[in-house]
Amino acid sequence: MSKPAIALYLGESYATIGLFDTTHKKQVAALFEKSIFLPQVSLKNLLNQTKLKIQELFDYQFESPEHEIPIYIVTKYFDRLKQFRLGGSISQVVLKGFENSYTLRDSKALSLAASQLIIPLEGSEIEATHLEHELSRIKKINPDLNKVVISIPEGDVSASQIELLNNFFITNGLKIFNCPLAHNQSYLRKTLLNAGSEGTKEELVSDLKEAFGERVQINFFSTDGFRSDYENCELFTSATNFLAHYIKSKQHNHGTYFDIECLKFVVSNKKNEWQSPWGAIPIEHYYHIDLHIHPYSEVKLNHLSILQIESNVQQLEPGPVVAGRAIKPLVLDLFYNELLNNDLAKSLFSQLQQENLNLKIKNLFTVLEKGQKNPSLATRITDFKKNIQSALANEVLSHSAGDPTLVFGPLADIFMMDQGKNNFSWTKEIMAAALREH
Amino acid sequence: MNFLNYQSHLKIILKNYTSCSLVNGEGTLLYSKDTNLELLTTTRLVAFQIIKKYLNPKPQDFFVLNDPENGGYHYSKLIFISCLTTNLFLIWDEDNFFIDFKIPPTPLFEKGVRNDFIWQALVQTSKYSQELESFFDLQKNNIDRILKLKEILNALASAKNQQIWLNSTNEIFSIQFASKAQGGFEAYHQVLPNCIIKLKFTAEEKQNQKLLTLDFTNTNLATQMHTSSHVIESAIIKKIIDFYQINSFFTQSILDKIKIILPPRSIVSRPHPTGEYNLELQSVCSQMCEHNMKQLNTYTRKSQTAFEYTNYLNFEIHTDKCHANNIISSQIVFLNKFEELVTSNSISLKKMKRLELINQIKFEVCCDSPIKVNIKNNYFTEKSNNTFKVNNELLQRGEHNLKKNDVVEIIWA
Repeated sequence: MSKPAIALYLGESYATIGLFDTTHKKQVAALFEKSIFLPQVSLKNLLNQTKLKIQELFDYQFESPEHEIPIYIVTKYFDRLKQFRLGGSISQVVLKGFENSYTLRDSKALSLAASQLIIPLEGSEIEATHLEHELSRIKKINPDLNKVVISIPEGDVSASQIELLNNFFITNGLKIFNCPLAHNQSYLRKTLLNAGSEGTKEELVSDLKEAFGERVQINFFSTDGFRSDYENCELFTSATNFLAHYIKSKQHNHGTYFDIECLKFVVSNKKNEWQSPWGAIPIEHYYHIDLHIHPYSEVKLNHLSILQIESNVQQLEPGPVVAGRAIKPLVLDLFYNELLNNDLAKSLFSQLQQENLNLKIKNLFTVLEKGQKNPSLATRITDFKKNIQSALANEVLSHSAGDPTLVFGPLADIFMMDQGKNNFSWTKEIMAAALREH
Repeated sequence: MNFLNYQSHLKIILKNYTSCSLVNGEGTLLYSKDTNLELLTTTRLVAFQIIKKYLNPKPQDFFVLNDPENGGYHYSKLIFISCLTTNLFLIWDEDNFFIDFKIPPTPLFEKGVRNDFIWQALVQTSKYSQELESFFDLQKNNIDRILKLKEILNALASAKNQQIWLNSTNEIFSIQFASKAQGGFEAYHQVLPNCIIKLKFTAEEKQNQKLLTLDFTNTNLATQMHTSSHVIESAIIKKIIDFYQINSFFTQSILDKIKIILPPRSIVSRPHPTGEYNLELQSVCSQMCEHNMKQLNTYTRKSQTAFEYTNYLNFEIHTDKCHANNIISSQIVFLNKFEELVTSNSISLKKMKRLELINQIKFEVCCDSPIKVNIKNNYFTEKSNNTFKVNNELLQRGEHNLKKNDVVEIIWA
């Protein structure tokens, strides 16, 4: 009997799926493979295409109890949340006097919960009438409120009061996230992040179940392997952790990964604390450094009329000009000619080969080149592009301190010119790792 | 090489530093950045001149010193100087709270080789030798990583490339100078009774010479509260390059356009032996400078307002192993390592809240070993209800010892 299995890389802006027959573990090849650019094609669409392929290639009944298709996922999708304040539909139940305590370490970090939705309590206030009053108050502020983080230190209230709290919120249809160490602000941030990213994860899981049935086995790569039980916050480091494992499997201490949506230097050493945009969070993860140039950063003239790469802005939507719709040129667009021969770019960007797109990109960069007001500070686009390649090569050299580093990823040969083609494929590596584990 | 190449090389070699300057063999500033609260721009440049004059640095030499009296804040603020090539020197500063004594300019490594005599005296005799060793090793490792980037270093050290870079930054200054108003604006602020700082900012162009002048004439003579000129200069320079949006291009070409007039022996030019008032006076002058530049560049003169100082609270908590530097103001709260104090059971939290109008922290000391609190500025103002209390008694600036069961309460509204 055939054993289908799915490998999915779900990035911030693109997804790649692979369908495999794992009957003979030593001879596994992708039967179907497809990549999509998420701002243009939905994940649901990709999953449904895969479902049809499974039905076409295998004698497979999705609702049959004998059929439990495993899906192995490595994700960077949660990085989308990194620009945002979270917790708009989360209430926090805290001890009076500890409102927003998690923000005091660094108030510049992004917020994880709305102040208006806090329910501050003293021990004597943990009774049904007061809780009902408080819940109705915050429901008026946000009627869609559906999650609650309970952060009351043991010892400050009795076990029966904690039970009462939990029962009250369950009865009222709220999902509960308990913070085990209420006076530890790092753990509170972790619990709040778990709650704040629950909606995104639920949406994803629901799409997968809708496509492959309730019996689908969903396994996310967390710190050291594929897991079906995981904390949501672990999904923020899934892709980097997977890359670190890949680097280790190639007997390297570090590696530099070049992709359409990120350029990063990954070290095969672990750290216990993640400096997230929401503050420090205790998660074991592999260390990485984002290279200082991002493929989705805008290329523009700055206030001095000098060509510059915007430092922070990432244009996932509408994406780069090579994707067809955008009108702001990004770093990736500088490499249009090279992308014409790149397998991933060809599969993601359907309009890539069109002459109109070629002209549009040329025009956009010509406007930038000619817009530089001061001739002595002007840079030609071709030189600017060379500067980027040389800066990246030097940056990698500085991170690796001269030690040999593994250079890989779908765009490695574009950004690091002296690198030949490498054979890194998300779906193949995901399936290989999954088969090694199971 | 064009100037963007040069800039990208600078970024790569200086990426691990938050507070550093790069100069050539003649001491010409090639780049400087200060992203910490304590600003040492000119202090670092003076430290380099001292090393160059008296210790004749050679490639791979590595020096350390501290100088709280002349803008180095406190003993724990260590200034490092490394000779990368004969025409390229890196100067940076880092905190290490295990150092509480004066370090004169000292060669820690000579031509890349550790000076065992110095190492023994500075590191191995300390009761924190392990911590100090890893700290100094980290500094040396960072330099060793840079030294491996030979191509970049050669490009940065090339006199021709340096000239291209300096010319470009000069041009960038001219563009930004032209985009802002010319003229003058002045403000004054009373830091203590009979203790007034006056500052006039002028931006003017005479005979094709563009000049930004910061004139402290008529500032009172130093009595109780004063600081070294480097502290003030560094703060003013930082404000100017931020305001003119030239911080990515800050070089000697820009430094030469800034003239700072500091009356001798005044509040803003008389060194203080322990640097006690450095941060506070730096903050006052920095805010005055910003106020003057903003007022000069305000389109409607109606909006002219008197200078009002925005106060803040800066305090340190020291235990045997943990040194936490904390800031609370109306804009930011930064309680660095506070969580570490809680998890190590040095303190237990009684209150810790931050709502729109109020920040409140209350904790009790739990450990038997001594804890010190050092309030580093005069946070107290008559108009506010901000308080820092121990066992319900208001604390003023200075160092205070805490003992087990003491209750500390901070309110900042």
